[in-house]
Amino acid sequence: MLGNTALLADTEKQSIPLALELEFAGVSKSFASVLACDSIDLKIKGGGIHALVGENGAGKSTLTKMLAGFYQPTSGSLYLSGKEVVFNSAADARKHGIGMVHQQLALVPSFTGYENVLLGDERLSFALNKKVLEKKVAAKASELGFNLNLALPVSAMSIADRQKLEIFKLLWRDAKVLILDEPTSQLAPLEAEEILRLASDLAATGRIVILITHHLNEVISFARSISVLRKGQLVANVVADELSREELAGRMLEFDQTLPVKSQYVQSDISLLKLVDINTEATPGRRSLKEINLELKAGEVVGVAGVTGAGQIELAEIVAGLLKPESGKFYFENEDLKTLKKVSVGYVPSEQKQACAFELSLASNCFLKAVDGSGSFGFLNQSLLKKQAREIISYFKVTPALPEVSGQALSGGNLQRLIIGRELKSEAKIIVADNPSAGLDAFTSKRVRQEFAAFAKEGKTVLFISPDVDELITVCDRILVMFKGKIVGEQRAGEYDSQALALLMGGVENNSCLKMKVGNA
Amino acid sequence: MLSKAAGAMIAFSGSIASMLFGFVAVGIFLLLSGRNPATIYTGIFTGAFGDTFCLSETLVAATPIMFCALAVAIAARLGLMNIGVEGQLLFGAIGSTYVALTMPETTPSWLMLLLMALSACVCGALFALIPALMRVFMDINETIVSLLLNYVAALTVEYLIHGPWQDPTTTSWPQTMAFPPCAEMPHLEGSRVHLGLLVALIIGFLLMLVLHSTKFGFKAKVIGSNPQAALYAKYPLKRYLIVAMLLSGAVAALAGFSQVSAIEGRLRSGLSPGYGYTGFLVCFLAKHNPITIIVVSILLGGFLSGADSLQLSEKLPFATVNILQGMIFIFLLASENALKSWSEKLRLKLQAAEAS
Amino acid sequence: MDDLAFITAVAAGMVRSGTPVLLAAVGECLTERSGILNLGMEGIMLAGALTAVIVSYLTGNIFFAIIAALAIGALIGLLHAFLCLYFHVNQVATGIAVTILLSGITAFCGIDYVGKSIHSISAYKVPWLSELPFFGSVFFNQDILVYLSYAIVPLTYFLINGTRFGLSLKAVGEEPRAAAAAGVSVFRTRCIATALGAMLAALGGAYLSLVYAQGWTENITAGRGWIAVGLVMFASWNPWKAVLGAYLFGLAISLQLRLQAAGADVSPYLLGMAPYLLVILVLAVSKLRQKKIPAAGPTALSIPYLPQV
Repeated sequence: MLGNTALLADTEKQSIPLALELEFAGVSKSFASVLACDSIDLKIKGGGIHALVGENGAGKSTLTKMLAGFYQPTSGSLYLSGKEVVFNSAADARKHGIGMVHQQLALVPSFTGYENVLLGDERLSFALNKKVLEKKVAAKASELGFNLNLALPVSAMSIADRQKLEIFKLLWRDAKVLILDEPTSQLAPLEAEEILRLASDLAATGRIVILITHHLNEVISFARSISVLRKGQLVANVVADELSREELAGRMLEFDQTLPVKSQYVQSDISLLKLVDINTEATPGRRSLKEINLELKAGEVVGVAGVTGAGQIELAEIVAGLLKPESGKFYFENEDLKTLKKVSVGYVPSEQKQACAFELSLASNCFLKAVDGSGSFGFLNQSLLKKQAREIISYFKVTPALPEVSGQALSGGNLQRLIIGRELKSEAKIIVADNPSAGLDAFTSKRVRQEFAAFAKEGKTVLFISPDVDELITVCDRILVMFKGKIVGEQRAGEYDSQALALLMGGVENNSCLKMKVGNA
Repeated sequence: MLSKAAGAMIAFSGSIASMLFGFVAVGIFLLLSGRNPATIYTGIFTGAFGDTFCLSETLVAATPIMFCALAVAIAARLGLMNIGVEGQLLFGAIGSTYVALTMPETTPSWLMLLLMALSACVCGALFALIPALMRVFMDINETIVSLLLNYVAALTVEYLIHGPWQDPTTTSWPQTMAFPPCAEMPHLEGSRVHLGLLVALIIGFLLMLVLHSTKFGFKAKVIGSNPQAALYAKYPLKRYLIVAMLLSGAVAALAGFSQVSAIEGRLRSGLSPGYGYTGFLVCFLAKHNPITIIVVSILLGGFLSGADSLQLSEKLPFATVNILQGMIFIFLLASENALKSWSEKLRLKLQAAEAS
Repeated sequence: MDDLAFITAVAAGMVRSGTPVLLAAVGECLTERSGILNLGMEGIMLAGALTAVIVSYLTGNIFFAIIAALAIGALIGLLHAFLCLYFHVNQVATGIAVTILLSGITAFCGIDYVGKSIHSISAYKVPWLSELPFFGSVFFNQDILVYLSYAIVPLTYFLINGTRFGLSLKAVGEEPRAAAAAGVSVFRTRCIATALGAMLAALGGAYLSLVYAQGWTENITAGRGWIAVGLVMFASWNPWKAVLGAYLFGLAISLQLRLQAAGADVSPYLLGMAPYLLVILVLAVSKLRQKKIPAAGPTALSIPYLPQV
């Protein structure tokens, strides 16, 4: 690893000045009356990863988007290597060698890696000579140490490879400043580590790499300097070299919202739902599931860990009764059922647009599923529904708390609260939650985990899907690991081993191999 | 926060503004073509609303538009673009003509009319079923299929009136025999305004009731707003889409029924000067709201009958109506989002003012 | 008439009747690839047809007539693109509005030109190629616009698949956010694609009035614009497949006309339905086959793009 880095540094010296330095000088940004960034003074030097930490809405993305040219500062200025720069657009920033990888990746799924790299490159001639260009791209990729099959269409690439492709796209355009917005949020631990190593290698060549992240571990093990934002203000700016790891961790922990790891497994005998030998076939947008056996018992929160696309959505939809399997059996409360369509299951999907009709009112969205139970002769019982809607809205403090306002007026976080509240308040005995903390701030996501635990305590059950093992181990009674459409492992509270879970998520199935690797590490 | 009423006002002001813009644009066009827009517009207005006779003719023209617009609205509420109302109207006319020509002339009028209406509804609904099934089971855009079927419907009418159903007494005219008296809808005393108007009004109010206070209406709105969410909530999406298209076709067919029964008294070519397309426009102008549809239909019915009266006196081609409709439609579509962003900006400003 | 002569005549008629739809369909392929659904093709064809007639009548110059039709097409295409991209309006509704407007305007302005004789384009036998048995008289005993259409198809294919613009075009149609992030202007790319597509449709309209009908009649297109849009669905945005569809439509028209001329005992109105029903049928069959292997295409078709930051 080290040798590689040294080599890279040699070849890149000419193109990137070692004195690369970025400076925010009193930069502020306000939207209408909201001050998103409050006179930020910050210097970032090339050579190592700079981590940007803070809660949702702290101003991290506003700050970086000003750097990437998406927003223009209300006041203050930016300096790149001592010279003042003004970016009126993302194209301006790109010209100065600044590139950003957004959390929601910006790749064309049907295009190959090559095509995605070449897309929008104005240096190319009108007619493209694909063979020559692909050779050039491949050469640059291997020169920079990217191990990627660029001939594959993006839709066939793993999330980690897509992330790498996004970074390479920027480098193909000679980016000197890379902004990575939560690059690891959808990755298994092993993949995340690979990406972060790649990022530090790139930083080591003199580039500036800015990493936005929630994960404390990442910051501690990979960042050279760290700044912490809170409510638009820079509250801490530390260089890792100046502090010991312990001190750093201490400084960071005050921003941590994690619960203690769950340590006790309570056996339950009441079976709520049992899936036996479920198989599904792959369809466009859905992968196949193989031999899924799963029993959800009353009183437990069951976690599902796995790399994005390992079959979690499909499993969730099977349990929610939305996807019909090819074969397999269902038992709901020990009763043999042909389909789960009729069983009431709460479902918080990973995509909000699946669970909400944005154009309709909040009240309508609250009784989206409950509408059949209200009123008689096909008529709606409006007053009853409105009353229930108010309860749901006040439950998680959805703002604006007006039942008649349209869903479009809500922020993503508030919409998520509405959906989770609605599903918790429904009559369902089972809730499936797919990455429910996405879009929620740390405080609310902690509250959500507590609510799920309380829900399970009432003799119900929660299937909690998340790529974030750290989140799962705080609330789940047991954790299943999915890999390529199969359940490949299980751990119970009290015997949680994050590293072993991480390996399982990466597809290391064999037990002996697993032990060996753990031993080695 | 803008109240619901204010929101509706803003939305409807877009419709009015786009009508005004449409008139101005067409006025310029008329001026360029060497006509005086002022005389033409006063002509259209007096021809539409000038006296009780004109008013009654306006209502006559408004009736099929109302049916068609309501038909479009039913489908549009579920996110379907049924531009095939024109064809469904024609099939409705065919269906009721069949009954009128085959039932004995001695049939009591109420039974005859009921059977004609039923037959029209069945024909129109079945004709709408084609795009519906293709949309639901093959994911083929219903707009394009129903557009193409409009031509098929027009040719079917031509075939029937030139062939098997042609009036044997006058071989030179492509039309069927006149209907027996019992197949004629009751009219308002001394005018051509007929029972169809009442039926259309009833359907409008019924539709409002269904949309606003029934589970069917609620689910329809969810489906129209986000089909994914409807699947998520386990609504029988396919069944709803098909039922909506069937209903839409049936309502459009009633326009054809009322035209052949009350106005033409027979099936002939040129039965509809594009009522289906006008209905489509009206539905959009009225933002799919059944009650607003009734009002806007009368307005556009007025243009139609007013322009019709100018065809001879001012030598105004009937195509002017299409130009006007197209202009209004384009301004309307443009205004919709322009207004939305404008009111959004206003809202933000108000919020900012409140906050400070 | 012996069989071969009949078949040759039908086939040559197929090319002639298919060409206007072909041009419009290829244009729509290009437009839809960028994520814009242009249902205004019917109206644009009408506008192209009438413009060509008027200019040909006034100047007596076919070249000017075609240039004028192309210009009108580009203008209307830009209007549609502007409505879709600036106002983010419902693209189905815009297309229908544009068609209603243009059918009105052409009917209004065309009154004086109905039945007027115009300079039309005469056939030009391609040396050597037209000597080929059967194919020669079907494909190479046509007029210059048909030959132009032979060139337009591969050129469009190349534009989509072999150029920098094509790469942007496909990206903008499939994942505009990604294209914008890569520095491609979604607005500009879609405008160009819509204008080019509309120009081709207008050219198709010009062919209809200058060559096919040799004059103007109200509503001369009789739904060919809609048919072109339907054929693009069948062709899954591949210009070559659009050609296939257009010629199939042309065959139905040509066969229907020949049968009528030969005095077949079928109502002309029933025969007249055949092309429309054929397109619907072809659409259904191709969709059933595609269900197994969904075609890669503009997944962002007709979805307004609102840049987010």
